[in-house]
Amino acid sequence: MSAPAITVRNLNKSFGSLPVLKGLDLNLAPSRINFIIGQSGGGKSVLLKHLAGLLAPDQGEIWFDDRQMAGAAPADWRALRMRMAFLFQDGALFDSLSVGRNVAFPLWVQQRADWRAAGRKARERLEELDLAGAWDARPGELSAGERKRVALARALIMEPEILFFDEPTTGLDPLLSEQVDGLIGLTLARTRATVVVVSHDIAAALALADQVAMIHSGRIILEGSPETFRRSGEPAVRQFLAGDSEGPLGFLD
Amino acid sequence: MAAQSSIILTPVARLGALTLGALYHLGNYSLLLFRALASAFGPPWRLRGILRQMEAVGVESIFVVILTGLFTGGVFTLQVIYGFRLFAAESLVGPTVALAMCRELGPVLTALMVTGRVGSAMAAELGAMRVTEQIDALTVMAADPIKFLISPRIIAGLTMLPFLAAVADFTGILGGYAVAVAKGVDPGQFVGRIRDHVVLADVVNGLTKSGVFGLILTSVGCYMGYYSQGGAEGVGRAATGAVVISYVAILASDFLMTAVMF
Repeated sequence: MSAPAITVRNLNKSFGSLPVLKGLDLNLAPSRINFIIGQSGGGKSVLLKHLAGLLAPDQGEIWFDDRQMAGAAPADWRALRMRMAFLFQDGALFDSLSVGRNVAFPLWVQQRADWRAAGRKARERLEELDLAGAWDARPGELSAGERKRVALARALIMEPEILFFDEPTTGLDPLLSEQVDGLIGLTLARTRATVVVVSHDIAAALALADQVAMIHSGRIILEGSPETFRRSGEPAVRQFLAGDSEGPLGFLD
Repeated sequence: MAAQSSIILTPVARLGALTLGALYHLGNYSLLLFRALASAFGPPWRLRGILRQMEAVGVESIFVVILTGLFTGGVFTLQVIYGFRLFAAESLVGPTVALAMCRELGPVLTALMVTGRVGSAMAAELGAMRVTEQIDALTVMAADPIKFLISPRIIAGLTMLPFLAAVADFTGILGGYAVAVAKGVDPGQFVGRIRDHVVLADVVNGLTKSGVFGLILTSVGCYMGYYSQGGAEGVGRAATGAVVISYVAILASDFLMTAVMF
């Protein structure tokens, strides 16, 4: 199996009476870095959680290559998730486990590997990210940047074909952000996975992405290469690129 | 007209919404309980996780349960001696205390203490895991969070509460014995009459009830935490809600089981 293309058709999702996604269509290229950008609270994370099956759509289709996964059986989702990894915004490391066990956990649970074998591989991953010293630490003892790198090590240990990043650089200082951005590029170079990054960091998107899509009030208003975005005359896109407070993007769209 | 109809209809609508909400949670809770019990029996076995929860629920509660038993047995004996002296029935203080502890006070007070200590902590812990996306992380790793987080806790409650209740029964009678002897009741009579009047079924039925209480307090704690919403505030709500709902459920089920069993 190889990294799949992901296609979203007419995705709708409301929370109570509040519509968040309103008939969203999206194409994500296989084995490429896809950025989804947009305002905070604009539905980016909600969209990503639909792609991972953590939220069920009210309506619409989610295709991984030629498999439609919206409303699929739990067993089908489990099979797909064996090929998938998700980097959560704050890492979502397990507080009750040491750093080493956190990284080894997917191997242990998915392949029923024993802790020792899983641990060897986990140690390699941590060493690559310059975190070998944190092996016995608890997640709570780490800094935000270290937590992010441990979470990345955990996401990469299964060599996933699909990789989701939820706001990878939010809350990090510029130096760390750059480091994490670099890791995203490295990840793709090694795994050839379909990478989907949700972010409001427009500069990183234009620098790293093969494909960019911009979400605004529950729909994709523009998708294409970074070049398409630089040249776009769309007012909302221009405003977002310029970081301007004047324009169609409001606080409460 | 509109105002009038809303005066009549609003309470009706509220009652309807309340009923629907209660039914929704009851159904959702039953599903979670069923899935937790069903998934516990199958590979990958989570023996270590179960043992760790048994330690948290059982071993770490022993001290507080001993204190609960001692003081409850003691104060109950004080009251019983006062009452029984009125008609010179002091020889029956022993079996009265023993029956009350084994059939009722041991199981119920143990369950209430453990709810405060463990049930609320489970709700808070799972609630925090929900807020920090650790439950989502488990799901995305193709690991069933119910099997990993909830099954071991419920099994620990189901198995450990009878042991704790037995400890409370014993220390309760011990506390009662000490008080009775200090108040001038004949020690031989206290023990001898217990052997005459208390049968095994009194103890076993009490311990059976406590197993059910263990199931209730862990599963309610897990349910409240697992489905908690709204950040840190939601975690707090889940923890207090777990205690209140568990207390009511324990006392109500105690009444039902006692009516059927004894």
